[in-house]
Amino acid sequence: MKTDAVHSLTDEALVETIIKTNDTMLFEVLYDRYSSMVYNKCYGFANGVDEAKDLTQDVFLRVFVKLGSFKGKSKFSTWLYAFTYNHCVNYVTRNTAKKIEKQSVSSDSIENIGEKVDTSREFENMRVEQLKLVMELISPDEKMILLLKYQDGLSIKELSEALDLGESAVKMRLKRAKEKLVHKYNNYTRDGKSI
Amino acid sequence: MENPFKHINQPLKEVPPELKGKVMHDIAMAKLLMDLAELFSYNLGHIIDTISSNRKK
Repeated sequence: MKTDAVHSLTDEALVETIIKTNDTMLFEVLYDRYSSMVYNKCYGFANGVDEAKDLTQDVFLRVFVKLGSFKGKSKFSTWLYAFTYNHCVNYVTRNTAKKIEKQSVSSDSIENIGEKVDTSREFENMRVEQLKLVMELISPDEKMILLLKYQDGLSIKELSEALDLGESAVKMRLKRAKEKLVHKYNNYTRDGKSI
Repeated sequence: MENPFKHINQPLKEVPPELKGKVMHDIAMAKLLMDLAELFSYNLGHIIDTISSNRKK
């Protein structure tokens, strides 16, 4: 395939060709398109440049091996966002030996969430610098779902597919993460501690 | 007011140039291992396809 033809391919067509041919040169094109996005997302979870580099390296290796599991249901970028965040969250939580609480959700409590989780209105008056700091005070899982929704703009349906969760579960997790973030933000003190 | 989430990763950090070489080296190794593994395994999908297409004849 000629270089120009490769560069004009959509992400999805490029991925399909890579899966068929296992061509590492084509994967390089994918790297060029997404290295900045992946590196910056990893940087958000890492302690410094070296850790971000290691995480990025691992993400691309795992993407190459797992590319076959991309079924084209969503945009490739959506799949890659979720893949990157999942890897980062696993990395961050791995050493803390924290067991993720399984929070059962009753069907009554999710009925009224509706479209409330879709809006970012609660965040509009937040200061960017303070928001950055408060994001470090919530769990990596909560950070991931908030970033996917409000930074990357995934819909509830896309989140549901990317995280392999039901739409109700996605809404509930978003609602909880959002409430926790707003609470931490409102109680944030100047010395960097959340009350 | 704008959504502040759009700005919390700004300015974007530049990807260290040496990273590409490391990633592509990893990919080359992974491809080699995957190709070697394929040599020593049966491609059952292909075998089934071949058998079923031969039967039709």
